[in-house]
Amino acid sequence: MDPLPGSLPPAPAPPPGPTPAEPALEQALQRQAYLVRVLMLVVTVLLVTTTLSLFHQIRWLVAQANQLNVTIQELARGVGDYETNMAPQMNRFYQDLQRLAQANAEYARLFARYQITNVAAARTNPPPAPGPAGR
Amino acid sequence: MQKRSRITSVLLALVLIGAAANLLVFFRYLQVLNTAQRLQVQAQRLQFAAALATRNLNVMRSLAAETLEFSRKAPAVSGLLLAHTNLLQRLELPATPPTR
Repeated sequence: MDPLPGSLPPAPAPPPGPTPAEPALEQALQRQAYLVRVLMLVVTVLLVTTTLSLFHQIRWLVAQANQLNVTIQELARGVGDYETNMAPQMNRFYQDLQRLAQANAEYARLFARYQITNVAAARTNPPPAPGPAGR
Repeated sequence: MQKRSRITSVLLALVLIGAAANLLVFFRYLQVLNTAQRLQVQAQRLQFAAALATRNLNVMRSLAAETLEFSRKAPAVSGLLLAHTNLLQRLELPATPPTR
């Protein structure tokens, strides 16, 4: 078919080989890959830092817990000795003195100045207040 | 190109290993933190009990000392005190009133 008179000639076919867009695309891809690698490196460094920091924190906490454990054992020994040996004796003595105070008015004035708290009762939580009766 | 791919694989492996290690250490940290908190609560309770025991001992020592003084005026109290010699010794007090 003959071209119409006055119309443009057809565009020439593109030459074989890389188009001008291909190197730019490859460059962009390489840049992306580089960025991904950098990002992975940063994440790795961050993870290693966090892990090491947590590891140190754990070591410090374990040391603190061990120290606390020693303190607890000493305190438990002291309180246990008090509760098993001293408290019953003190209780009996206190009851005897209470009876003496009831019998002797002069001693009652002296006795009234002293107040002993029951350690065993204070150590444990108070029992819950009785709620409404269940159905 | 192959070298770059290998670097990416190594980095990916590092990220995965780092994440797994981080997770493990984090769970261990939570575990240790929980134990430490529990111990702290226990220590606080015991400290409170020990403080109360010390206070009671001091009160009892003062009361016993005053009772000893009182036993000078009322010799009948001496018998009561003698029955608690063991306790009075533990409170570092004599079972009989000091003579002047």
